[in-house]
Amino acid sequence: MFEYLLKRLSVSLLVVLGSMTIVFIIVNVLPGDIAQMLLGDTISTEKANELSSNLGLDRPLAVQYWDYITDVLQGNLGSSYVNQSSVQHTLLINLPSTIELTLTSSLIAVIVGILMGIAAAVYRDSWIDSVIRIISLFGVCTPTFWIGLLLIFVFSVHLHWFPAIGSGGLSHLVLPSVGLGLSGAGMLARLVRNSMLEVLHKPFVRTLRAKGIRESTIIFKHMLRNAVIPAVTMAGMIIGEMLAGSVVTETVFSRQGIGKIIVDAINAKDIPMIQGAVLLTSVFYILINLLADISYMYIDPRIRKMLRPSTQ
Amino acid sequence: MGTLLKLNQVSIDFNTRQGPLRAVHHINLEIGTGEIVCLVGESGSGKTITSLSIMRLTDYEGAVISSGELMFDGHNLASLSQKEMQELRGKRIGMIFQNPMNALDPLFTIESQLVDSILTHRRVTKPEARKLALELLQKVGITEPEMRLKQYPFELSGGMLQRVMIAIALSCDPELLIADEPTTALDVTIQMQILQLIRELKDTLGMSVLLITHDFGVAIEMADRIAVMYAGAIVEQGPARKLITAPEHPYTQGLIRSVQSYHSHSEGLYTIPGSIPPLQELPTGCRFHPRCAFASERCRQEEPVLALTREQHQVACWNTAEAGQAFAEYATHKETAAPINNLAALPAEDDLLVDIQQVTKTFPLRGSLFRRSKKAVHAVDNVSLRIYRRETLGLVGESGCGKTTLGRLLVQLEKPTAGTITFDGQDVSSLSDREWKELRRRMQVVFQDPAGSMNERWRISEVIAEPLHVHIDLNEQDRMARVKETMKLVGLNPDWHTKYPHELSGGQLQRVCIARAIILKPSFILLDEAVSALDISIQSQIVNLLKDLQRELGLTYLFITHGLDVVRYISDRIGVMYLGKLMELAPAEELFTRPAHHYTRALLDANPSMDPDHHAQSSISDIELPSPIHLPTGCRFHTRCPAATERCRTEQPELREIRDRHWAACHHPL
Repeated sequence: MFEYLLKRLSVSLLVVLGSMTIVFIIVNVLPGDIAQMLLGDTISTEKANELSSNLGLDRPLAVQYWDYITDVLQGNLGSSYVNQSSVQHTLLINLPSTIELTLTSSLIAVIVGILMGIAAAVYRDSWIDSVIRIISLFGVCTPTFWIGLLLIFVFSVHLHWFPAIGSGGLSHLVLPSVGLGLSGAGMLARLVRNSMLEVLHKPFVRTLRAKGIRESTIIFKHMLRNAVIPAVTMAGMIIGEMLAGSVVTETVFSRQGIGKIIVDAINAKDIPMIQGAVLLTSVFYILINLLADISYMYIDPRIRKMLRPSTQ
Repeated sequence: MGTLLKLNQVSIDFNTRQGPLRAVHHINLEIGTGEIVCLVGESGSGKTITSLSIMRLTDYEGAVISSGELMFDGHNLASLSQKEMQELRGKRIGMIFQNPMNALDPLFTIESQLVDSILTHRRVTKPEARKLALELLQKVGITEPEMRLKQYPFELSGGMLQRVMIAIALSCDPELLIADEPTTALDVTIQMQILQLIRELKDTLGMSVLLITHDFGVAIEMADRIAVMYAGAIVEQGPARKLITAPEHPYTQGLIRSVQSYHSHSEGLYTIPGSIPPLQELPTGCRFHPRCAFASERCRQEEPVLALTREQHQVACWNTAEAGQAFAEYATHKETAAPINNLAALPAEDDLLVDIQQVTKTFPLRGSLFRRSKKAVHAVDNVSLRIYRRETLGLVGESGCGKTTLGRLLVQLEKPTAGTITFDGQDVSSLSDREWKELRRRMQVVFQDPAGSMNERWRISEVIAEPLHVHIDLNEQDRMARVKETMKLVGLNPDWHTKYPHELSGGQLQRVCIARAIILKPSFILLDEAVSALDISIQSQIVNLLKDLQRELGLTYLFITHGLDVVRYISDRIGVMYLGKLMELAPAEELFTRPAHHYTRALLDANPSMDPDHHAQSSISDIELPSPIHLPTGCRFHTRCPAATERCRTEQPELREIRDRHWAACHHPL
């Protein structure tokens, strides 16, 4: 168990390093002189070169890469090109709002998705199943920004139930979370429906019925637990994607957060900020998936035993 | 003896998109208090859906009880609500199923699954339920019950799991136990233990048992009364002994003759022509008439109903007189026919085809990140075996004995860890890819599951022709001619070449697999449980086909199976394996009449026979099969052997010739 975690963590570190490298390469192969772009077209080449050497952009790429990696390992994400503020600091300030959004939309995705999946499987081929399948299909194939705009149009512009834009209390959180959570809920509902149906035909369900166990206990205690294993993997990926999806959602709803920082930083060519935000996102993504893997062990004794040294 | 359960004119329909499909038609069945009734039938006969209908579990399988009543202790089960049924299930009626390996929820401990059942129906506290669970495990004879309670289903063997299932079914002292093929998925020695357990528990608890089985041997072993089902109807029922010795329905007679002919050494097995009709295409009149030798005009028109022919014995047939007479003639003829000693008829041992020398195969277990595991599964351990041209070598043993691995090694689906395999003088491991491809033409394989071993999206002709594409350059016309010729050879209608696998029955699909195996005119075929999944009436047809093909094409077979009757009939010589070792090797008849190894003896003793006077028994202790990772020292069988001595515990016996052509690895042979 401990060994397994150690193994997983070391692999995760490699993944983080890999994602850092990829971002570094992408940022550096973008066309155009960074200093020139930061200063605008009217500035002379000398001024731009001066900025380049100030920022260390005139050094060979390998040196820049090495410095970047060693800085990060020492916990230094650098400072913004735009306003010289510390990247760490900016990210930390904006992190709560994004976590808030990711958390609520994940909760919506997981709870609504699983419940819809169970209902669709239990009432398969009925109208309930059809309605749920249409909703989940809608969630899966409609782009997040479009759902967001629809929600704003209906619930703020027409019904005035929730504020359209900005961050703040719970009321500001409702529409973005629903907008972001719906696609995840759709994906999960479809997956849970299928795996519930698969479990439904397993012989042990027949045994449970023959034992006289109540149908609701069979569904929620036995079938769900067996069906949820593939859903856990997907939930891990979905929650990770929520973080990426927050880029769009935060822009649509004009919320503060990491997503908005990334968009702004890309527009401004603020490289340290981009790199810092992407690093944070990928670490988060990896942690969520690690959590998903650990929860398997909790759910499935076979996986637990496989990882434990044999006791025989 | 009072009647506990009475099925009166019960019909069950499946709900399909095309409307209701009749699966069971107007059946009458009674089970008395303390009685064991066996429902015998081949696949598709409706026996399982009948058993599910008693629990009203049919409601969850897309089926409805469309007419009739199921009277259980004064209640009509067909008219109860699911909620009322729920209170009966597990409390007054318990049920166990075919495959214990997947009949328990894999994510919960044995204890929690037992306790759940107890708490659902009994007013006890949780600690009391735990205590009861432990007592139940002791009652069903599970070793180390305290430890088992904490374990999960995947940590227990099939035999133990079936005991757990029985414990669950008995947790509330039911009046009726329904056992649906409870031993079909288990090894023969374990089967005997489970059947004995069911009988003992029945006696001590005074409950009734409805046992569903396809195996007449099991039915004779257990039943007070037997009911035979065919294509959704009961065709004959009565007291077990009389039903076996003097069956009156031609179908029952056919089944019994099929089973008995495995012991007869006549030319070819007795077979019932044709196959069980699908539910959508039931014939008019008597549903058995297209396969019946006594069918008359009346049988084609009018459906016979069960009628009393002698005391407590009912038959649904218009021509019982002729059929009964024919069977009586057969029975007297059978008794006068002397068994043939086939030792003299054995193929000469000079024409060696396959030579397996000291072959070992181990599968290393996955170690952890930092340590490489030293443990390994010893699937085949130092086995030497020769197969001569044109002979059939049978290989028997229980699951995990290494027989399948040995076969796979022989056709190089696995590489041996040590030892050599020579095929027709060539060492197969030293061949180049080209030489190997050339050799592979001459060795073919037929597996257990015919549907699973072909691409379901291919036409039959494509399936059969595939080896031709790989090995021989033929034009389309020649290839098709070859396919049709081969189809004819295996008894398939050549016009079916455009059909898809799902349009054929299991027996027909196995013929397709055999056609695919012989189309390259090989000299050797590995038959790995090739007939084990087939119904008895189909199985005999395929065995006859294999025998005919062997004679016509000069084939050599390695016939791997766990079915003792089949292997005895088809083989010239038989090898018995146990935990990776070859324990005994002898001519077929010699092995069955004078087994030398105690393990072989135990296998034969546990095999249910068709003789109602001879009871199968378990001559080995209840101890579980040792794990192939932690093998016993000395003789592998000593932990379960009734004759084990100190020497057996320390010294591994070598295979030695104890009689003419009879080899055994035992310090104290029988």
